[in-house]
Amino acid sequence: MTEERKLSYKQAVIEAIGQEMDRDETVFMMGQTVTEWDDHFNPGISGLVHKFGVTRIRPTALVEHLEAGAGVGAALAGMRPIVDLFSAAFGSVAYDEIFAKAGLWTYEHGGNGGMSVPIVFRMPYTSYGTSGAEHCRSPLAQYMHGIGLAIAVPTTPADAKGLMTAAIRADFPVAFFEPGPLAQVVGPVPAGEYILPFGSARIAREGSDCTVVAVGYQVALALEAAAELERDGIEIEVIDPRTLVPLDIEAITRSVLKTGHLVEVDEDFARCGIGAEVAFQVQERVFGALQAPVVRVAPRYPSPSSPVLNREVMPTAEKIADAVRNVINYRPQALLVES
Amino acid sequence: MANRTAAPTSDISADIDLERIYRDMVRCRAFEETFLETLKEGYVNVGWHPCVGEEGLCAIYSQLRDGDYCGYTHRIFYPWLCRGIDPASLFAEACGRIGGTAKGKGGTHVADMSKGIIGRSGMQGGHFPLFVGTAMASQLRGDDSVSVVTAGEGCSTIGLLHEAANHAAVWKLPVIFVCDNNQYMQCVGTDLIWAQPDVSRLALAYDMPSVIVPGDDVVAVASAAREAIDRARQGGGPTFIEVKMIRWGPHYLNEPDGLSYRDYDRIEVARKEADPITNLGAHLLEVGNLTQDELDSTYDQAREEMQAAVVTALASPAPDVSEAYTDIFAGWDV
Repeated sequence: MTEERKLSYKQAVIEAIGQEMDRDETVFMMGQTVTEWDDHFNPGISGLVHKFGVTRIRPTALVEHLEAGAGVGAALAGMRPIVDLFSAAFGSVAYDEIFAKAGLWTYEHGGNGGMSVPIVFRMPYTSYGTSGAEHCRSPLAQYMHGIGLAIAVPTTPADAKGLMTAAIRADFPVAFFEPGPLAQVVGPVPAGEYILPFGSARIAREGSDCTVVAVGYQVALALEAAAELERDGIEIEVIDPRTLVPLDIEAITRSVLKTGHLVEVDEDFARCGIGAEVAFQVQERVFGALQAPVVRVAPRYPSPSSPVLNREVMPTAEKIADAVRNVINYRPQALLVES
Repeated sequence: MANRTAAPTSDISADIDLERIYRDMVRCRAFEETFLETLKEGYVNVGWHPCVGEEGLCAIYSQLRDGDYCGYTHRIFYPWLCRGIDPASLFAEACGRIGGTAKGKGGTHVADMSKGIIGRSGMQGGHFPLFVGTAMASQLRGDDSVSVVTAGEGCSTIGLLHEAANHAAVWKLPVIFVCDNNQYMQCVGTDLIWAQPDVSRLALAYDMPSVIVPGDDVVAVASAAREAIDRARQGGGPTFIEVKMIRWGPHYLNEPDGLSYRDYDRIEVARKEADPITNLGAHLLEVGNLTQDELDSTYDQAREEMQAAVVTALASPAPDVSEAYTDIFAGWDV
């Protein structure tokens, strides 16, 4: 970090967008709330509206299909749109536009004329709210499953700026997931141009006993769990993948080779989820290094509104700590039967 | 602003190149005939939705110029030829050859970025937002290029049209919505799926100029298109053009004969009296632009062009299997 200037996560995202709009006039943003009155959700955006006008920071009606599809059309016509879907859940309305138009188009048309779809879909998300199962869902794996999209999930303000800059400049479509509970988190952010390449995981904490791959907000929960486990003499290594596609599987397998244990934690549904993919890729590469089955800490039920029920369903630091203990204390069942 | 029917044909703007439009219409018909023959011979890998008889739409696409964007549909392929894509690359694509526009990956998903043909949405109605997007790009760049998006009346029931038409009007985008109203959505009559017969009435809700033209009155189609294109280029915003005709053919090639959703008497009359190529040919003869010999040789030349294109296409090899792994962002692991 070159400077100790601090910004919030969202300020860092908006700063990256503003700097890229300054640098490249093909960059523009549209979405349902991107107005000069949106500083609450996007601190600093009023400044962008005043600087670039409503043609480049363009508010839309309630039209997710249109936002995403027109973004793809504009990208094919040489622009670099940022589509702010306000919520990944709302993005699901435009699933075909994101998955098929952005993701599959270049393949389906054989890359004719060097076509590309340089578009960024902003996907704020959280499953921890009180708004019910539709708003509070985190469809990351849905997009990870599709072929053709890159997926970023930065967890620090600096990473948010670096990955947003990389996403805007990328010649492929990017689903950019912004964890809701991290919106106000403050941290040092480089003031000038700052680019973080895709596909590079961050080791959020080093440890030798168990690897915990944590996605988005769960990085913070895993670090909480680490502090608790440390008191019991258990040192976990927390890996923040930062991008799910491409996935830095090398960093994860290196860690598993060291620890022999793996826990994956995220807030999207467990079934066919991020953990399933991570576990599969790890066993494919370093099967012999695993001393216990891989455990997922991820919801198996929708997000309920009541905080009591929500805590029951969603990953918590305690659940992560329990999972780690279970994995570390794992004994093959055959031995249990004999004893 | 009232929905209106087309201007009388005598109002034709002098600088509309009707001979070019006639040639393109004939080339499109010759392409379709040659395509179906090639399909019968077993070379074509893909399905086909017949559109013979709807070539009057060419009067719109043939008036576009380089830099404009133009969509097409699963049926209305005419922009491919009207915008100047090499027919050999089209046949090669349909036959799964490396010389195709998508190197054999697309089939009927044809793109030619140099001609403003950005591709085809496999989801009906998916085109509407895409061409709002290309029109946004034109507006943001500040150039005078225009976008044309075509869809059948069947696909105009989808909500995407509402989203797209509303924002095209709100933002005064240079986009032209063309509704190819051929009376049948797949194997269903339009009267069963539309509450009223004129799709273009939708435009009234967005304060968008709209016009209804008969698809066999090519001069009327051309005039309506010219007015819409001029309006869009001059910053006047979008237009909705509804072109009405009846679909002569089935929805798909293997559709069983004689399905009762089709009105065969009306279709027979349309074939005899509402063939846009015959009608424009008659007009060009009448005004003295072309002779009967010239009309005939236009068709012969078009057939020769398409047959030669097939020969070129079939000389192109199948793609190397390595092509299966290109042209997409896949990350490190797929």
